[in-house]
Amino acid sequence: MAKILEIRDLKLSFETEEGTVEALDGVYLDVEEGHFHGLIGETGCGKSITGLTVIGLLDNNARIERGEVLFRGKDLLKFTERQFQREIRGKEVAMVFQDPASSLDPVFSIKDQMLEAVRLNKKEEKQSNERIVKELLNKVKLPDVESLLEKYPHQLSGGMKQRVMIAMMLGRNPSMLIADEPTTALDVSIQAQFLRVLMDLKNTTNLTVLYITHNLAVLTEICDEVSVMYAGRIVETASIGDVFNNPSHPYTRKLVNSILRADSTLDSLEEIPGSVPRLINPPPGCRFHPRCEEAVDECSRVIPPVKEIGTNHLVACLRR
Amino acid sequence: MSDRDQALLDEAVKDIARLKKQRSSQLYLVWLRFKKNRLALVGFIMVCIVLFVAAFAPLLTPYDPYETDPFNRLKAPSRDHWLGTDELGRDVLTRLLYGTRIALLIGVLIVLFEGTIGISLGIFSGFFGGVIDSIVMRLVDVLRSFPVIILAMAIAGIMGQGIMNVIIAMGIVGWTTYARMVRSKILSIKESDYVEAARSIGESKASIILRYILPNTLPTAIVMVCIMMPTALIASSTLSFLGVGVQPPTADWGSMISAGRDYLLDAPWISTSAGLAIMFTVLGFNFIGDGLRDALDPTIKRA
Amino acid sequence: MSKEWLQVKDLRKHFETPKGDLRAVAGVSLKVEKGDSFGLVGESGCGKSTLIRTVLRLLEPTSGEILFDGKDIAKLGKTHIRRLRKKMGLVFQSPHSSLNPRMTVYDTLARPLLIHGITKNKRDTTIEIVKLLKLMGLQAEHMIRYPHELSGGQKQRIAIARALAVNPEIVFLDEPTSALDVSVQTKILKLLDFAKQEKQLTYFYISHDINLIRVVSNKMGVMYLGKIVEIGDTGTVMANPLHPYSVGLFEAVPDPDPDKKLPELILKGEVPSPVNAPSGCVFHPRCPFAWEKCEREEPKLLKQSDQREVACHKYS
Repeated sequence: MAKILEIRDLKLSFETEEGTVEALDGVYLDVEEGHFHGLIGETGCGKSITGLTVIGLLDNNARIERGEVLFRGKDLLKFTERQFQREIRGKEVAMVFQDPASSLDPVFSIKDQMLEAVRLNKKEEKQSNERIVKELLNKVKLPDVESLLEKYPHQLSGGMKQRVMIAMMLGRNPSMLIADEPTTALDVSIQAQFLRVLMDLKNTTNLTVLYITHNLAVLTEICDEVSVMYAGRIVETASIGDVFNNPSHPYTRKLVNSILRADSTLDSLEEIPGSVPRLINPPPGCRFHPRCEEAVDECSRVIPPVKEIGTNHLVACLRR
Repeated sequence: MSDRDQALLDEAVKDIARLKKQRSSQLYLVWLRFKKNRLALVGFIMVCIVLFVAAFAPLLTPYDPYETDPFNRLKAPSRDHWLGTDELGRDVLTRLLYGTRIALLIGVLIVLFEGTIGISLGIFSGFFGGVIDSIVMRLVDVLRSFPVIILAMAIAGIMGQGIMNVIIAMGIVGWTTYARMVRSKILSIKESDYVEAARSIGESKASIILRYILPNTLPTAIVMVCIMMPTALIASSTLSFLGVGVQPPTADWGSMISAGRDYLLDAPWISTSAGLAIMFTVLGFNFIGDGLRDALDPTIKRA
Repeated sequence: MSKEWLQVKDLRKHFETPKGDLRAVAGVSLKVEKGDSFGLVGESGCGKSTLIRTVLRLLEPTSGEILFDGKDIAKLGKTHIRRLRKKMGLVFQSPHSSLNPRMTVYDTLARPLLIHGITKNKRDTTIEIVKLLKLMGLQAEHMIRYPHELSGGQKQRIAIARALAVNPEIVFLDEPTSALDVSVQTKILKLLDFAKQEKQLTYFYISHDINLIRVVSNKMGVMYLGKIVEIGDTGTVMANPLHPYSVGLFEAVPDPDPDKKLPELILKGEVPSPVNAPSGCVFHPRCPFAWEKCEREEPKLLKQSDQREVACHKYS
């Protein structure tokens, strides 16, 4: 399978009042076409920024210091805003955010917004466009499509809005979807419905998904590979099975063991001492070393390189 | 047991002393943030200049602001009179410097007057809600539909002209702005988790107002005062200009503009310099207000 | 000490809205025994937050009884409520909003001590605060810090310390870890457990996270649209949920085991609005087993065994 997205040594910082935030520091990420790739990390680790870089929606104070973001071999970092708008956004890469309400226009009905999205793709007869819209809404398993079309965003629940967003995105037929915490604001039962829709897409289309979340459990339901991010770097990338059953990086291990699951007890849960570092003057060397039980002197000096320790299993740790 | 307690206490004292050494005070942090904002710093310097002038006006000029000199009427700026003289031969610069005092005095009094009424009514209205809130807010609506200047002129017409009446007229309308701002701030604080938390530990109503709501409203109030100060200055100058405020011969910027109006073509320096003085002061306060708004809120991390 | 130490009987809390009565809590009955860790699970809008706030008397109950230590606290007057505050603590979901941003940690923790006269002078107060900080794994130096100088986990520990300051008998925990990162969640849960042993506390957790409730509680309830649909021993309920809603809810939880894939969905559709809730059993429009009786008649909580009660016509 070909790689659809390759991020190479991406370093990115933000200028803020308090100093330079080293948000991303040498991120490597490969996403295979047609795969569902999970990107997991805690608040402020840079996972959302990685997604925004791919779609060219970074804030003005972001500065890309080095690296490449190759989408089908083309470096997106060299794209102008115009090129992004014409060639990438919506057309090739679509993004779904945590808060679907902010992505839908409150003054237009679902029908109008869906038609607009479909029309952007190809100009066809009105009748057939409407048919396409209905097909799309059926595809994301929205019930009672006819009455839904006449509704406005505020009349829909969060889960329905999120599914309308997916339908809208499908209307433009992109090759890749970046989903940034799409179910964090939803209830579990609604989240399950949403994940089911994604699973169906996975089985029926060749869509690539980069699924960004802090919830590892969600990833295991749908993803093929997972990259674990900590303080602006990717510390481990592996198949979902390996991340769970054979985690290598000390952070991944702790993370996997701190997740509440069906057989967890208070004693079985591991805790990570300390808290996530601020990225203004982050710890030198491996950024996890102040919280790591296995850390040695070297860890505070040397930035760990990415090593392949098994088939498609990459780890950035000096102790491995 | 008591020994252990004492040990805990000693340890705490040591801990805190160590931390205090490493840490700067909250006020200092506010100042650091304020200082980073260039315009705010410029505003601060401008207001300092105004304050300095008001305090030391007599030392800064050899002239008396009220001494007329019939032989030197409407003289253009020269080495003796840097900003020229007015229609009665008084030194314009001197009157300008002394005018600072009146301007600040009126500004401060107006802000104090309207601020006290507005903030306290805003607190009551916001915290207690219900009937009190309805009455206060309807009163605000009514008063805000009055044109300030005409109201002030009416008051002057009834009670006579003078500084006090300017302040009263301004205050009667001006407090509404404070009340509205403070009320909406309090409404949002009242709904906050930390106020509910305060109730859950058994805080009394008075304590909730004093310890939770007021300290969190304070930054809003301070910023409001800084923003309302220039409004008060402009309004009082306007009233003086219209002849209902400060009366001649008092050295006041508004009346200086008014007096200079008749000689605008022959002696433009009279009105212009007074106008610039108003602008300078107003700008200074506005810059500070904006800077303070950003500096006082540690939660807003601006990019 | 009677076994029925905290007992809620047919508690209701309605809010008036322009569209009609919003029945946030629509007749809830439950019991918590001393030393229990009770977990109430439900999705957003099911009324669990309103329920604990009503029990705490932060909201006025519309009707019903709340028996606590043999007294009906639903009818307590103001002065008595203040005394009640010493016995009941509350920890909020978000530590970022539950601490007064203009109060130092010292003041935050000193307030409950002073209000209830637990410490009389500054020296005792300070000692007590140091003890609380230590209990929460923090240092004395944290006393002079402001909330914005602390991390999320530290803030939550302060919020817990505030609730524990008065040595309450029962602490209500409203999603105490859901605003925190996973890596600090464990720390908070373990500290809470430690404090429970240390101070012999009773906990009342509410959460949407089934796995959290499973780990921390010994008794649990499942709430849906203002009603308890199933209640009993955590082990029993979790191992074999009976109410169709419990079954669907537990199924929907993503299992962090890559070998298990998404199960068939039982819960279809959305939670209806609590204004004009469905007739009969509130769950019937979404229930795969509903028949006409469910539309007509409201099921009562009935004992299925010593360990559990269920409100469903299927089991009556």
